[in-house]
Amino acid sequence: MNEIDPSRQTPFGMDFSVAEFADNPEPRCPCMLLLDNSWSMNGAPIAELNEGLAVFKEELLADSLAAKRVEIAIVSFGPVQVVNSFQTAEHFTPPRLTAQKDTPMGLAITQGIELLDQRKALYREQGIPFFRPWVFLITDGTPTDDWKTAALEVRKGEESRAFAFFAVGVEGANLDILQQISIRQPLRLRGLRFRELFQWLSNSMRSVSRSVPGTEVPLKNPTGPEGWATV
Amino acid sequence: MTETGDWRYVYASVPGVAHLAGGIDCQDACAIRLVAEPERGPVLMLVAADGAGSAARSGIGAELACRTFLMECAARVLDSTAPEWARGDAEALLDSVRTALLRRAAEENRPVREFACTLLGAVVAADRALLLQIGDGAIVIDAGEHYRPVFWPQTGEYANETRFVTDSDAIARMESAVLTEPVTDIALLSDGLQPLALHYRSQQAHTPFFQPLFQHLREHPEPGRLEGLMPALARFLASPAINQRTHDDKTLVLATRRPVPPPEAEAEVEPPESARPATPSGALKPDIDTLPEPAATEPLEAPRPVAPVAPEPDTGLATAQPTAADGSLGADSGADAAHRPHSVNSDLPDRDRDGDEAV
Repeated sequence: MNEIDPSRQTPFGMDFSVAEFADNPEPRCPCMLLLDNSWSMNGAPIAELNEGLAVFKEELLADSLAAKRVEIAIVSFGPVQVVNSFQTAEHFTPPRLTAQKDTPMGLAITQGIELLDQRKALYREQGIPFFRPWVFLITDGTPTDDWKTAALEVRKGEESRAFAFFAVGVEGANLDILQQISIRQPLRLRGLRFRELFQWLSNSMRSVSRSVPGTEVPLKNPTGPEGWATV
Repeated sequence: MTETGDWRYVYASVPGVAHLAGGIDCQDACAIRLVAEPERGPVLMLVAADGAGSAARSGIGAELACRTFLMECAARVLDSTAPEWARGDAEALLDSVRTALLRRAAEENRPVREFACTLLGAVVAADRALLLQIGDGAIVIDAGEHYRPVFWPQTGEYANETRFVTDSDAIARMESAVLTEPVTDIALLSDGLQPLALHYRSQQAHTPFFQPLFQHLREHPEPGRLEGLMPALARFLASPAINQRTHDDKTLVLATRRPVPPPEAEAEVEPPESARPATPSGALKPDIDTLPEPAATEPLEAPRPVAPVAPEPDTGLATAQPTAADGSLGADSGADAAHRPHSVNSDLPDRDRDGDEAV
């Protein structure tokens, strides 16, 4: 058979390249952040959290694929507010959260899940493939509203594989309740390592957003000696 | 009709940039075989398989799946007592592919999921066709002026999930079709090409992708396997223009028996100049605009391991044969991966519960 001789073969090869490509949107990897901005977060915690969000965007942008695929939304609670609706990392503007009032975590969770459902409906309508969404909750307190309904919804969502739910407690958080909400073991943030937390989150999102069928998504253990969390 | 049935065909599998970067072999495989069946005329058999991303032996699984499919097809097709084709035939074909993978796994003393792959298969006779699919990728055939996917890719709910030949319910989940119309153009493509060749929203084939490719085949003077075009197809699949749009392995199998173009077109025996200016607006141009006409320079990017194309006659599988694909990848052990080898995200919570990871 003929060897690959570019000068001979290229004319044929070029003809194949007349093919025109379909223009499909990139598959999306939604990430819903539920962030506690109750008064107790005042001072260094909220400042570090804001810093972490900026890092999150920065790190995602460093990966051209993740920049186009990872979509971020933020619901803050204290009070509940949709701070960012879903946007790709490219277009995401990290907010400056301020510490305000109480900790309506239950409502934040149900509202976050609702936003996620709407987003998924839109993906389906538009024929956009997507990865399993992550819901990532960060709090330093105890819910001040009905959290049991929310816990039920989290359980339902996990069972139907509608999303993966993660909970992180900053110092002062009620881990007992987080444990009842999240199927996965809630993690305790080490000090105020928000920066490391968001680096880890962006790395995880990068892995998920480029995974193909049959791939293991490598997740770094955040509770290692250098990690940002303890159990 | 000649003994080739006027079929012109090419096929190639090339590794994606993600696999090249990771030093992983191509996990796609594909092949075509043309069998002269005395009573019914020539029968064309086409197959493509996409090995599961991180399954250690999936490249080998894909190749074995293709080989087995062609062998079994030939046995069935040559059995002239066989009645009309039916779903049962497709099920039998898939079953023999599954059996071959299970046997191989047992021989190597490995779990069968390490050989996981998808399967696209087609048997095309003069006036009928049998088509089957398990997993993603697509079989696209002519439909008047357009092209249509026979089945829509079987992705799971999420982008990184699909079905595999090795799934326990693969036979039930397999899609199949028996067409009683003559198929004149047929393409098989792996999921690496899906975003370029299919419209996700309308769930249609992107006709401008296929038309020029088939046209190029038709312009070839001789029917049969187009040896001269095989490396060209592999280079096309490995070109930067495609790699910018997809990082996965890519397989494309093309066959046409549509009559050759009318005489005036035939007169020009493939002068490259004639085809190139015909690039429609919006079409993909050679990625370097300054490309000299006869392309004295290699227009493609840095050297890459293009899959060995057509190493042997007829059943030559177009795949980069992984000889030692295990080890580097073999770490994905654990019972959690066993029950859902394909659902990536779903593995996470399971493993978490197992306590391997805290999150």
